[in-house]
Amino acid sequence: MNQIINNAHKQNASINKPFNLRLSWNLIGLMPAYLVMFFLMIIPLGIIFYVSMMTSDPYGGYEAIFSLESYQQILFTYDWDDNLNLNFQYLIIIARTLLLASATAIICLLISFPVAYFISRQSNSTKALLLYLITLPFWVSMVIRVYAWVLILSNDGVLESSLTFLGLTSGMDSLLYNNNAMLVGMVYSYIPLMILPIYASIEKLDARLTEAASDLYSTRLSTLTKIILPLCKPGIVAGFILVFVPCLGTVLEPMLLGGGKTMMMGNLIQNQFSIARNWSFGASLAVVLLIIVMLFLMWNARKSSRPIVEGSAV
Amino acid sequence: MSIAIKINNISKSYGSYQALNNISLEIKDNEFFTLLGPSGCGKTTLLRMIAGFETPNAGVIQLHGDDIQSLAAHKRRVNTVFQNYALFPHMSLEQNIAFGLEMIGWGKDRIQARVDEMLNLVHMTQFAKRMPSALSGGQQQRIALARTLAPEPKVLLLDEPLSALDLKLRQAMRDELQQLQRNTGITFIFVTHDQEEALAMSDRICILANGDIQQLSTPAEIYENPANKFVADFIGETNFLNVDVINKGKDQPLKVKTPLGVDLELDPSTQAGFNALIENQSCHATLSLRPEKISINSDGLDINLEGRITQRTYMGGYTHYTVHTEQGQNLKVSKRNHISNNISYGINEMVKIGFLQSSVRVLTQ
Repeated sequence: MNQIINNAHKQNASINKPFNLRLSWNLIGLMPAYLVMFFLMIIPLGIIFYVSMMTSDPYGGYEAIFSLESYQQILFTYDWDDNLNLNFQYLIIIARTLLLASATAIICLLISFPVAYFISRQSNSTKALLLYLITLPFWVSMVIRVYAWVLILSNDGVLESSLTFLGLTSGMDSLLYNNNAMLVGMVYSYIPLMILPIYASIEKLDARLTEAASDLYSTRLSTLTKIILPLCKPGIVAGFILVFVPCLGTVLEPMLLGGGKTMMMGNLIQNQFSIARNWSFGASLAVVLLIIVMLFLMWNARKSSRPIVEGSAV
Repeated sequence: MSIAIKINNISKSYGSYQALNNISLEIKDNEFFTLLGPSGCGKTTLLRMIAGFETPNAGVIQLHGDDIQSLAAHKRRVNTVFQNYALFPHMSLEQNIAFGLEMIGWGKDRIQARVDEMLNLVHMTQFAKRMPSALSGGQQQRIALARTLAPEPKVLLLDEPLSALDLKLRQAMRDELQQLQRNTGITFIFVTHDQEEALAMSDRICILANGDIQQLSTPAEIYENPANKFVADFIGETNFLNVDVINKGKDQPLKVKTPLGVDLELDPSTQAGFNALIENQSCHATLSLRPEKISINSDGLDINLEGRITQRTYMGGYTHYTVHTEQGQNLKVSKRNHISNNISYGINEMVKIGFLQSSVRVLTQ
């Protein structure tokens, strides 16, 4: 009996030792990934948190004095008598950012779905060509692509002069420097990020499922709403995130197409580090933006952690 | 008996490839009708045309006397069981079965009652709330059947529904399908490339090849009296011998000279596969003789030969032999392994083989 127990102990010991050894090897092996995460994510974010809680230096940079004043500044201003007054100025920018980002994502979705469906129904060579054309704008600098819209929308721009030439309008108001112009630019910039994941999910869809639906007396419309859309949901959600999240932090469209009159969070933050020289305030705005994105992603992750069934029948 | 589906001069081509070549056939009400053929013979194309997923280049398809050509798939009172079942993966089994009923606008209570009835019919009641991914192939198959039977279709189309199942399950599902067809009284049109499946289940079989109908008849008729060499070859095993037709004419026995060293005199009424139009000329033909029609070391047969066994394959219920005759022909012989008569022959053993003249079929080449 003792013999057996002894043997068991020995075995345990001999199992434990390589196990610990393996654990440390695993740690060493994964070290490059940890280091990348540490230096490229934890440290920069840490710096932003740190700066956001310091006092800003009017000559640029910050002073290492703890203060939450920059967070306070998002909601309140001091009046002449040093009383705190609620200030909607930045809240409006945050709301506009959320609104424009959602609108962009929704418009992109409405355009992308038919486009992706159309592409998925083409022959293989046409598919490859169309997908190539969709990714083609990525080869050109974002600045140039957004600036092209300035030329299209501006007074005497491509759009106005064409319409005037056709006699449809004479002397319309400027199409630039408002929310609509920014929306157009954002939809244009981010739509490929919506088309590609939706295309991938439609491609995975088994064509026999739509045949089965119409075989079971389903009209085209109910096949779309009851079969195709629910099965493409993973792609739609992925596309929505890929468009919505970068839209929250976008800088170019409000700068070029919003003309500085109408701001979004992206260029508001940028201004704090460049023109306004209020690093702490910029950092705290960045933290707020980060929290918004994280809340959105967490909400989405919770929603999609419920069982969803992917793709095709086996 | 009334006609469920009438197909009239249907043709279909894809580019230069002729999938169906002027096909006409009638499928009766309450019939278990099988479209059988090798892959690429056009059987699935024909089925998809009846379902409404393909349009013929020419011809008419009628369902109970009404032309259904102009109707979209979702307006035809026919339902399809797909090869891989095509169950909706995001819906529970209940929802899958209810889908068609919702689409034709049944009320909630009526749908629930019908869904329960269908689940009961395919013995799947306890799985109602499961998702299709949680089912085995055979279970998915049953749900696909229940889903298509629920809206009470006039005709049920089955596109190789058993091909994805393993052998045991396939055999069990054959019986179940046949039972289901008898109980519901719905016309089944069954597409398969598996001749065994077709013989086992069908009332009538239509053999398609190269876009043409080769033969349309009952299983026994097709096996016993094949219309041509293709059918004889495709259905079951057979021995083919090249023969010379010596004389022939109406109401005269058909005389053929075989490479077995014997001449045969055959009753022309048993030779449906031989084209009597080529009259009074000697010509070449193919003789078909099924392996189980040849017996080893038996008495009382018309034709008796001698040969040496060159190959032996034990199959359990049967043993297959290859016999090399004195005249240099190889004949496949199949022998049932009886309880009482468990004789087995070894390789190189000399045996007598024999068959009846009435077992021989002469086929136009």
